[in-house]
Amino acid sequence: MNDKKHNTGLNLPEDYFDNFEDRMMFKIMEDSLPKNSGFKTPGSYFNELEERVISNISEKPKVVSLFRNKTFLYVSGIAASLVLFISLLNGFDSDPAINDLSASAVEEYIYEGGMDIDSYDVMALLEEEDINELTIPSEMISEESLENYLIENLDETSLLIE
Amino acid sequence: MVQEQALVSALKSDLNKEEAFRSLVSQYKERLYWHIRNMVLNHDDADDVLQNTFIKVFRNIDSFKGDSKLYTWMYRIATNEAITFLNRRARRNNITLEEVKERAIENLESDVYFEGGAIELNLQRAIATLPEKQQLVFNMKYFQDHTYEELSEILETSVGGLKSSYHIAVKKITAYLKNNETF
Repeated sequence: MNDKKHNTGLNLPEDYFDNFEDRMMFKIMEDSLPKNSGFKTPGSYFNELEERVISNISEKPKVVSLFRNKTFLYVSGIAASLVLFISLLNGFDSDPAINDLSASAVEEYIYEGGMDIDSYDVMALLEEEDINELTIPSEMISEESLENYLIENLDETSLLIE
Repeated sequence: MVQEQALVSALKSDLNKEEAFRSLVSQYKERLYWHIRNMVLNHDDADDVLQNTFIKVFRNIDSFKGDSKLYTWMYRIATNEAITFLNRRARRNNITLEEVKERAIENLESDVYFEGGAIELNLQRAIATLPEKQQLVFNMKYFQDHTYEELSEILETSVGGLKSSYHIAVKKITAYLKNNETF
């Protein structure tokens, strides 16, 4: 093909001219698209960004409570009150006031907000085996509630990193 | 590469971690921001996602094994954070992801951080018609000018597949703009 009198010595890929027209048409098409997205930022955004990021990483990591759902809290509260009640029974030989307390009375007391209780207080009262034995009837937690909890508290990046 | 290894070592050390992190933020803030912005469209949303991305990078740097480049790892985190953000918005509002994007595009018209005209708005509408992966490929190749090799690392897709995806995206966008010409 290259039968010219003088050869420059310059070479090119063998298939360079194959589909050359298609490649050119594509370039023309690409070139016709708007060059900019039109997005802009506030004037000093990037200058101030480092300080804002550094101050964010200095904040304590968000603790995701297992007991944000009130149902979890109530059930664990009941369990904790029963454990406490039984412990008190075992610890005192006879105490008419304690003996007169029924589990339902304790439960009602908790429901009425008589105890300033949060999930961490409940967890502190339970031994590991108590937690393992804690069963929550499936009817108490709808699939929708569980799904919403997972959506609000888990994300794909955490799963990716783990 | 040696420079990146030194940066990663500093990030993993207790002594130099904050200084190294500042350097990291300084080097990558703009690239990551525009990557995220092209996905979520709104500046404030992009800022939120970018902050979350850097926080995740900082807190998980010890789990970075070095089997990919640092920026590849960060880009993946940024991409996932943006997708999570959009999906969460869709679920909260009980709408589809497509509807989230449509609303974001509609809001651009009155957005003070959008200085594009009708043609740029139409371009966003055209991009939104593409499958998710094609949108990513198009934005990263066209607006951010990544090479196919860089994209291949970040998106874990072959160069051939990416070229094909990009070509199809450009053709679809061109066809959309032609069929929905703004005057």
